[in-house]
This record gives sequence, structure tokens and C-alpha cells, in this order.
Amino acid sequence: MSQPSPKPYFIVLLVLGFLGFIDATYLTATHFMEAPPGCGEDGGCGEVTSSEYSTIFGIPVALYGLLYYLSVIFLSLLWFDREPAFLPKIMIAWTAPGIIMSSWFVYVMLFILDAICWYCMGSAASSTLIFITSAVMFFKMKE
Amino acid sequence: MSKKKETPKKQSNPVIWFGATGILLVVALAVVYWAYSENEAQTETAPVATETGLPEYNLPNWVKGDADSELRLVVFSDFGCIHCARFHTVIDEFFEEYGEMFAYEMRHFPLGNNFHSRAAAVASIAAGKQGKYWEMVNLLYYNTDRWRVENPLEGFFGMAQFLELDMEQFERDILDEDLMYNVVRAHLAAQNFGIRATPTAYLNGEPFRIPQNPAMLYSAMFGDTD
Repeated sequence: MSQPSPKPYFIVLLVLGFLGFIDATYLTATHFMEAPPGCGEDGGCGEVTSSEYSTIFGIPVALYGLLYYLSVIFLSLLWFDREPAFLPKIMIAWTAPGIIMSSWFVYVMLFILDAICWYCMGSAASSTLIFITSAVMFFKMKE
Repeated sequence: MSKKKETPKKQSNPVIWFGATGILLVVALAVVYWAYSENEAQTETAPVATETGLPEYNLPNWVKGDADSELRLVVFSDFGCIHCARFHTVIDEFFEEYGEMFAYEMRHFPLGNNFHSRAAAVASIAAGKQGKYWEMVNLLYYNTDRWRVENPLEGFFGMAQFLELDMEQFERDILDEDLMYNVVRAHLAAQNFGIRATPTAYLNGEPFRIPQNPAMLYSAMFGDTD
């Protein structure tokens, strides 16, 4: 019984991690630049990224996201480089906190702040997909 | 070192790591630059007043503070904008702390993406006609959940009742079509003038950066405190 290769999964993880990285970099940058507070003609008030929920221990959540995506990129590259056998199995555990945090942020946006930040939604989407990819890989590898 | 235990199947390929680091750095720099230029563009949203002054404003207006003051702060605001509400609080606190040291004029610039903001602007003017403009402004800012609903009228009427307004007149004024059109006209005039965001502030006709607290407002208007 030959094991299927986890290679396509790591390609997907690399791409998603990269997209998330771009998104989180943008969010982190705008957080530190402190765009002048205001509402624009075409929607958006920065309500989400300037809310009390936008930092944890004084550090912007976007920065945590940035580090998280970097770790996903790093682990994917690690697989391409060395193919450590344990990696396809632990990705599910490593990415689970990502989807938990994302669910919380989506909840905060929809039900507490009642405001949506599309870049944040994008980040939630990519970390959800990263988790799903890791989970599928986990179960396929187990078979 | 635990290198013995792992015995990698493949030789480590430094190209992957150097390549990835390089790509990520370049991409990160590009994104930061893009965010920066976007931020700059946003900072320049307040157009400089022309010789004819600020945009035409045909709505009844009420001045808060010292109406005869040489300092006149004009703020284009939207009741649905939390940053306007926050700045309004700063001004309120300022007046409480330092007294009424300048004239504060709130002009309506209800952003197109929230049509109830227009209705709220009309509601504030309707209350103003009965001498309760600033009271209504406060209620509208602090109770957005009451009127940012499908039918905002109920919320407006509740506030009018709370302010003990003459309900018949309030109802007539809030449904006054001319007033509604004038709110739209004021919005268009400000838009043609170049205003794009709220709050946009002018101090004696000069673009004024929104300060975040009463102390910052003080130093922005009167120089540094000591």
C-alpha cells in the first residue's frame, strides 16, 4: 500500500499562506500607520481595525496573523526541503488555533461591532482554508 | 545536537530558503509601500477652502460654544460615522473642561452608503427648529442602534418625545420634503467642493486635523499647553 504524497496539499498551503501573508502585512502596516480616523464615501470606517478587539496584550492581532502565516509558509517549505514524515500529521494541530481565532474575529465583526472589514474577512477565509487543507491532508495520510 | 536522529532524506536546499525569504521581503515591502501611499492619499482628503470659502450650505445651522468667537471650527459630519461621534464627544468634553472658547459648527455630510444618515440629519434639524438641536445631536450620536434599523422613524420619534418636543410639529418637519432635498443638496455641494470623508474639519477655513482628545484639541487650537 503506497501512501499518497502530501505534496499537492503543501502546494495549496504555501499559496494560501502566501495570500494570508500579503493580507496580514497590509493590515499590520495600516494598523501602525494609524490612518486618520474617518469614514469614507464608499463605506468603511476602520471600525474593526481600530476597535478594542484589534489588539491582544497591546499587540495588533494582524501581527499575530502575520507570524502565523509565516509559520505556515515556513512549514510548507520545510516539507519541500526535507520531507519530514511527521509534518503532514501535525499541520492539523498547528492550524487549529488559526481557525479558532478566525471564528472569534468573524463573530466579533458580525455580532459585536456590527461592522465588516473585508481584509480581515479575507484573512479569516485563508486561515479557514489552511485548516481545511491540513485536515484533509491529515485524514488522507491516515488511510 | 540531535542531527543524528533525524537523518534527512534529502539534502537541504538553500535555494528554497533564500528564495522564499527574498520573495517574502520584496512582497512585504511592496505591500507596506502600497498601504503607505494609500494612507497618504487619505490624509489629503480635506480640500483647501477657496476664496469663496467653504461649500455652499443652505441648511439651518446652530452654533455651539461662543458664536462670536474669532475661532470657528466647522466639521462636516455624518451621524452614522463612529469617528464623528467620537470627535463630537471630544468637543463636548473640551467645552466642559476649558469653557466655550470657540464657535463649533456641525455641518451635515451624510455619506451616501447609509441613507438613514440623511434622515438623522433631517431629524436633528427638525429638533433644532424647536431649540433642541444639540440635544438631538447627542441623542443621535449616542443611540445609533435606535435609528440604524429598517424603520428609523420610530427611533427619531422616541428621541423627540424624550426631549419633550411638540410632536406634531416634529413630525411635520421630519417629513418635510424641502428639508430632505436641502440635506441632499448640502451633501452634493460639499462633495463638489471635494470633501470625501467624515469627519472633515476646518478651522477658520483652513483644513484641520482631527485631534483625539480635548487636550490635543486645545494645543491644536491654542498652541501648546504648559
